[in-house]
Amino acid sequence: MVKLKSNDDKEFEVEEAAVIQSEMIKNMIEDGCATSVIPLPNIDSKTLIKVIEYLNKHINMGKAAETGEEDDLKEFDEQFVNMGWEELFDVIMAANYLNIHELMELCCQSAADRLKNKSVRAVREMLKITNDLTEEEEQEIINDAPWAFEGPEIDDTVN
Amino acid sequence: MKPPINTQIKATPQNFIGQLKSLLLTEILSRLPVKSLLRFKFVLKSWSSLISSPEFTKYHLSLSANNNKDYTNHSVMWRIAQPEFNLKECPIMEETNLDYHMKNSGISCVNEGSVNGLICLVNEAKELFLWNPTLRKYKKLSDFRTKLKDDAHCTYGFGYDDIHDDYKKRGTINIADSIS
Repeated sequence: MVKLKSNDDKEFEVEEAAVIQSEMIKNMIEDGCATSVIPLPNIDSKTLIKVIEYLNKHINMGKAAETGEEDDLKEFDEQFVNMGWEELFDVIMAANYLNIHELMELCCQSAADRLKNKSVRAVREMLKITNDLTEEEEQEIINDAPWAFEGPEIDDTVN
Repeated sequence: MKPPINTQIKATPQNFIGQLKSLLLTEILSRLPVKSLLRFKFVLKSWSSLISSPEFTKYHLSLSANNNKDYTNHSVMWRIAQPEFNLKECPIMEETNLDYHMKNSGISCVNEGSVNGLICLVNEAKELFLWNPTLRKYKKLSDFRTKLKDDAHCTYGFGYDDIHDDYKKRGTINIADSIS
């Protein structure tokens, strides 16, 4: 078992087989630096719980393919990314810090899929962004590819 | 592969994206299709400069080429459209006619090759164009035949130079034609 500590001082025990999906922790274990608690100053307990949930489910990815549990894992992934933007970004930052490649892929793809067909207005509202372009800059962008702003798939709703 | 991009994003307490490191924003945006990216240049100044940067373009290309395991980003191209040749019988394919800008001008074009989604076109006036059908943009290439006889028959090739990270065109002159 490996002990992880979040930045709000909560400790979590995780199986080594699960935690080595993090390249960062795997390297620490290999270098013999994981004998006591590993402090994670960038990750809060709420986010760490999510990450550990993912790691535990994804132990031995190869085995899942052999035993036909791939669909189960896919369903879990779909459910897993069903969270708000703020939470999703926290998990992305944690996955990046811990260097968990598959989790990073999953969450970044989910963020991209949510944005894909959105209108500019919807993106700004969803991500709470205030426009900082001048009118000239805006005009230049529209003139460059007016077709990118048209099409039946463009979705102006915020959700 | 991580692209060397450093874009500043204004952070405000409620601004989620401001809390994301710019590298992570690159990771998310590089998974979007081109049409979305062209539109999202309009979201924020820093998004516009990130999306327009050559590093981002290269990273986007490497992701769409490597992550596209079902080959939906790949196409088979016919040089010349003929009614008797078509791919419609092939069950996995969707057939489209490429809509190039000189199509309605009466000047016919022949595509001379494609690399990384860029297509090299030559028209009857022997003018060379580089065409990006996804961005719907053309670039007329300099004419390297000016020193040649006008009636010389020329065959072109088009490729990517990995060492110099550039695209090269190549012309081969058919000597028999130029002598006659």
